[in-house]
Amino acid sequence: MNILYDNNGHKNVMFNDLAVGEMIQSTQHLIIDGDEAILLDPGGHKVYATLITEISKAVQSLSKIKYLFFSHQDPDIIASANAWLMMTDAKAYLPEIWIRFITHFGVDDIVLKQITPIQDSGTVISLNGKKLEVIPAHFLHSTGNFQIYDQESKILYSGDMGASFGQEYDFVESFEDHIQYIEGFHKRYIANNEVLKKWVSMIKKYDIETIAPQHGAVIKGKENIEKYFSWLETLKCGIDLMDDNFQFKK
Amino acid sequence: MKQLFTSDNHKCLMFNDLTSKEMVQANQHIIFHNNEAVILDPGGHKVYMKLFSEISKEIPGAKISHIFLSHQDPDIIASLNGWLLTTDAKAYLPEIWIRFITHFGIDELLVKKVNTIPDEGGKIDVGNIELKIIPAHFLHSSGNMHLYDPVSKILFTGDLGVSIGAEYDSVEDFDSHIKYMENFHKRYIPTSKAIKIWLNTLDKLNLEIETIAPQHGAIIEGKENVSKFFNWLKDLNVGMDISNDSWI
Repeated sequence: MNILYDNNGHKNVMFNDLAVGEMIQSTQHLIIDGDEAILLDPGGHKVYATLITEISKAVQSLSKIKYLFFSHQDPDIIASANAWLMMTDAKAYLPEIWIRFITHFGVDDIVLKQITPIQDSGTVISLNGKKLEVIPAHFLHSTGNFQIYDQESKILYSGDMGASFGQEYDFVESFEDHIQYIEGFHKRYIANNEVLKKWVSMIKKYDIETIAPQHGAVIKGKENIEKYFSWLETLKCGIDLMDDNFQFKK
Repeated sequence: MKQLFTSDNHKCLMFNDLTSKEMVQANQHIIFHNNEAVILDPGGHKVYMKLFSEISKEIPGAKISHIFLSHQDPDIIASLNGWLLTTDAKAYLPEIWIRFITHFGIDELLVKKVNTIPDEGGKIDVGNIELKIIPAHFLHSSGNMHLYDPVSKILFTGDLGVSIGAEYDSVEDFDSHIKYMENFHKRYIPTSKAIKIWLNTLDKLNLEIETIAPQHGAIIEGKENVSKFFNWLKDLNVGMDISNDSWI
């Protein structure tokens, strides 16, 4: 567990040590402002029990969880959705294009009553008066995908963008050394460079101090963030690296 | 339910009426060969019980030997624990998703029973026949596979060829069918380049395809309609091709 920001009654907590066994490491993020909290990408049921204990410690009462945010439809994001929706009165957000897919396991009544679909152009969530911008990041990697920019802490919750695997630190020190841990995922899961470039040109307009992905280490400080963006702008990935038969070019 | 193919020892059934209410309509396909059954993209737990009893009604005593999972979406994999617990089936899943489904799947079952499909595809042996696993990455999922049955000559295309809202289960007139397919393909597929690679892959494999059977909506039957479908795809612009410079 790490505190990414704590000031003025606004606190950003990251749980990055709850995934165990065969699960891919994943990070659950909690943003608290006064008496309200939002949980981002809660993950599967194996993380659920531990996470609920940890969160109760952080916010005292689960009734403070006003919002749940599901960036996209993958199992490491939504598999515990039923439980969270049943245990809290939280209003949940999910990309519109995935609503009728999660009802393949989600309880219909709960999904309809508690989940607000996010339109392709994004939305804004007000957490105790503080603005969380829900920013579109489609095809990164999911077809319908969103990130959250927290205006107070200047943290960008980037979901699968910036995901790293295998490093033993929680915060990136040297971006150059970090590339080996982020390269494999970005190259295989993101469709092409065009979508990366589009995202970089959009996201550069935000004043970002920290990039907090859903897997792996946090990228802190403007210098490292700038290096990450530059790296993305020229990165060939997905379809760019495949030949005419879906084989990766050697 | 619709029978797509039948012979003495081989049968392909499409269950297209088991989803209900708020779920996006989904097809569960079963390939029966002799006494074995292969389930394709079984779906969520709401469909699980119904599908289970339908299978034993169709071929009493059939052994569910294989489960094919084309990608990681909830409408594909949500009932996987149930199937792995109640059958001896071997499951197949694109390699890049294995550590994601372990966020809900039972570790031991997954490690023991799920075979990972490498990016280049593979095959499933059922009795003396070989079902071909063909890569179809980024259509729409980053790691995505189709299955070809050489006996029925059906290509099971998952999210490609999907139609939503059509009231028939087999396409009669392809041109008037386009309106049911268009939105899904344009919104869910990231780039037309992925489609072109797929068309090229099929071309090289030189498969004889009688039927395209997607995981949602109507099937496309007959060589004429299948070739119209390929032609339509060839020139289709999707996802990034048709989006503005910025999402906002």
